[in-house]
Amino acid sequence: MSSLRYGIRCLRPRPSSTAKQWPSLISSTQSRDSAPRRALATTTPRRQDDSALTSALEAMESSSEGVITTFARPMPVSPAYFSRLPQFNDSFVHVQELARKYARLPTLHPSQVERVAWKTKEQYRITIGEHVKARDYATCIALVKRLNQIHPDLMPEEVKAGLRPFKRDINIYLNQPKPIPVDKFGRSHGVGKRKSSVARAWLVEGTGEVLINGKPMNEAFGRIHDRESALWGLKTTERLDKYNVWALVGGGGTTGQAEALAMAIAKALVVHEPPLKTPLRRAGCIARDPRTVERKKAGHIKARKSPAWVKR
Amino acid sequence: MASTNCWRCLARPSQRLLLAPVSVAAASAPTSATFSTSAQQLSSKASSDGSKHIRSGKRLVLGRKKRNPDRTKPPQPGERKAFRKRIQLSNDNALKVPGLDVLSSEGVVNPESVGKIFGLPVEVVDQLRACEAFKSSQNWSLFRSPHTLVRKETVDLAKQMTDAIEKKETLRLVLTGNRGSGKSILGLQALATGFLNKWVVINIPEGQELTTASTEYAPTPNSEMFSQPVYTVKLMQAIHQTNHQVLSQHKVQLDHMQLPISVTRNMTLAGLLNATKEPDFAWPVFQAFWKELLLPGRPPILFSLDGLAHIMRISEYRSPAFELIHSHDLSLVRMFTDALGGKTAFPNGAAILGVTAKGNAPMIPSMEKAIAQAAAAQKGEEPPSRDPFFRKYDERVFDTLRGVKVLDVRGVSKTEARALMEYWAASGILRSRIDERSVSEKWTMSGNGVVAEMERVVLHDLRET
Amino acid sequence: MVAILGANFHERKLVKKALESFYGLGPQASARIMAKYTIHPQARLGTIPAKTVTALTAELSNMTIENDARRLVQENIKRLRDMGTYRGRRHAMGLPVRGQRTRTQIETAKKLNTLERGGSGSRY
Repeated sequence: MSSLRYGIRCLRPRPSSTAKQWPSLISSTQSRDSAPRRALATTTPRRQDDSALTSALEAMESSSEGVITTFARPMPVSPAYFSRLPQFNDSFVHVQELARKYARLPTLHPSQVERVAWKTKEQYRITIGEHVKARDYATCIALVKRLNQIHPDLMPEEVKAGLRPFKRDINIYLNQPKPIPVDKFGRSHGVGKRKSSVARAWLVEGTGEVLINGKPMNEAFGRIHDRESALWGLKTTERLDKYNVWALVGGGGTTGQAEALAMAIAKALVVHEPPLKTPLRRAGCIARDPRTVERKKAGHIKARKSPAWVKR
Repeated sequence: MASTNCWRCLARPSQRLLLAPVSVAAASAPTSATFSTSAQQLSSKASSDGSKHIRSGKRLVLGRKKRNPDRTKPPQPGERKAFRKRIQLSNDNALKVPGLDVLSSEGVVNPESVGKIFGLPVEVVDQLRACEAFKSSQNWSLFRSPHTLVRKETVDLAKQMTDAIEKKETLRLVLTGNRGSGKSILGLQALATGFLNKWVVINIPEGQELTTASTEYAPTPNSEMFSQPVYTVKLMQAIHQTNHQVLSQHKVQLDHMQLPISVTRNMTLAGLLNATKEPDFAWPVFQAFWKELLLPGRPPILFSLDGLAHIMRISEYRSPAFELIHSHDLSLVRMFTDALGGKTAFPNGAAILGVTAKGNAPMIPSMEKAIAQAAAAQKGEEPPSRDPFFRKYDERVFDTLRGVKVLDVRGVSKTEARALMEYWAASGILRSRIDERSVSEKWTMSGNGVVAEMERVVLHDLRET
Repeated sequence: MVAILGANFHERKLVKKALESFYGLGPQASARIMAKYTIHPQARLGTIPAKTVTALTAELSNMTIENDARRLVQENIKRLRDMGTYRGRRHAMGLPVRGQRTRTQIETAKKLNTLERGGSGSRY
């Protein structure tokens, strides 16, 4: 018995490390009253495996009352250690506690709160490496958002720290688009892409002259439909006779070039007249069309076409 | 595109009216007694209701593939070509446009007439048709009668021509410009100016007819040249037809002893042209006519040729030694190139007009370089030098085009475009509203007012709405 | 109808086609003859003067065409045959002469390679 006890003592880590990782050992060594342990047990009463563990521990303790002063094994710092999602459960409980504790602090209207980029479920799963359930995460993030509404002047440090694991590293809402200047000659520059074409367009206030790769419109685009789609942004906003366009287009075919040019011209137009951004977006000139040619796969004739089925 | 068409079907009542009314009740069975109608109803359902599926499998049909022979008569020889080259100058379906002036010799040089549409006088239309100035690729058939837009270039060209002829000088000018920018129409307007001013107008409508080896040729005795007798006869007839009035006022002054036909002093120049239709005698007679024209006291000459690139290269004719003949060795072409190159002296003043073409034209680097050099010289810039690594420059081309004036035809201005579109609208071609915006839009879409492209753009819109 | 070297042609027949209808006169020779008499390639028989037609006949009568050309070819083949060469044998058998494969695609050889090459000798 004494040799066993000695072995357990040898196994027992140093207090400095236990303070970090196995605090329950400290509780058993320093003060042997069961209050903290019970408190521990009450924090996670619903965890069955936890409760089983505690009961086992108690049984062991009661059997060897006064003989064994420490646990046979190091105790985990979190009672959620043996659950499937220890980190999430910890932070969830913490957030719940915070929410309960600071429920009465004044809050801002949601529209006035500074926008924060919260981690999505997938991002959170990747960062902590646990497969968090969608429903749990949703309830958790709802609490987090509620906490975030606390007036910034009264926001306790504790809350700030508690919300940190749910924030993305980079707040995308703080990103400012790089301003495109109108240069000293009054030109604005826009770049557009479509399929594999790239277009650069410079817009100057003028009378509606268009030069594409140094050629007039009719030589650059043989199809009238292409000409129309290239100048679609100017046409829908009725700015066709107010600007001169000088553009360079490359790559791809005529359709791609025309629609890349439409995007480039729209972007350059927005520099001159920012309020036009919404109508241009409605006209479909601002968004990059992401569709491109699908790559060919091995074992297929084209991207998806399979070779003809041959018997044997 | 498809969606617009569908919307059009829904939106336009006129189109809906065109569709035959679909009556549902009419297709039902004829009225009959109330008893024992089931069989009848069934049968009518089977016949009228198309929803019932009738199995139509593939059946083996043998010997059904007989092609019934074409019973229609094949077109007569030359009929297809005549149809292809047919020129229709009026269209009764088009609306008549009232209030347009008729082109006159004063109006065409007046700067105020820029941007206005003018009608062509009837006799000038006949003359232009006779000298084949109208082309089948130009859409004359869309309008009630031939009208042209007088643009800045027109007035500029007409002014240059009349000024030169008043001073009894020779204007040698080449019209260049992008495809569809209206070079040939400008040439036509120049010819009309010539007719209005009672000049002697000689027009070669297609340069390629002379050099693609599709008309007769014969060596000229005692020279290296080749004449084209059949074409010369045709040209003489055309000149006679178009310039009859002017030429019949002038009489033959020289003795033409060497001519195969008898020419007397009391013969008019028109009579000289009309004296022979024999291809063998055509070239000497035409030469004699040309000599007579170049005497002092004769009317001024307007000599024009469309498709300049074709006569600036080696032709497809072969000499008896089986060598390709240079176009400038064809005597009719030589006559034009000498005039254009300034080798012929015109004591009565003349305008020599070479019109380049962009459709179906060969690339002639020598010609392009020569024209670029001439244009630079005209602007007083440093002329572009020749490519030192290109061997096939043709000196004869450079000689011909040395010192010519170049008129670069570009798109029309917006005011001219507006006039044009208003004319189209008045003729009933264009049915949209014409305001600043639509004109500007069409002008931009057509590559800064290239006329042929404007027409395309407008007709494209017409198709949509 | 226009007669060249005893053969009658329609007036609308191209001169080039008419010339090439003679055995032993191909595109090259016809082009040269036409250049010699300055007839353009698209000329039809009706448009050329009678003088040129007789000149053409005279020109053709001095050339080795028609039966002369046929005889020449046949003599050459006969010589090969008489010498007992492989080429002569192949001609006699109606098979390719110049070492082509015979498994497929010998229809032309079957049609043409005979001892009596060039047909019976009459044009009509």
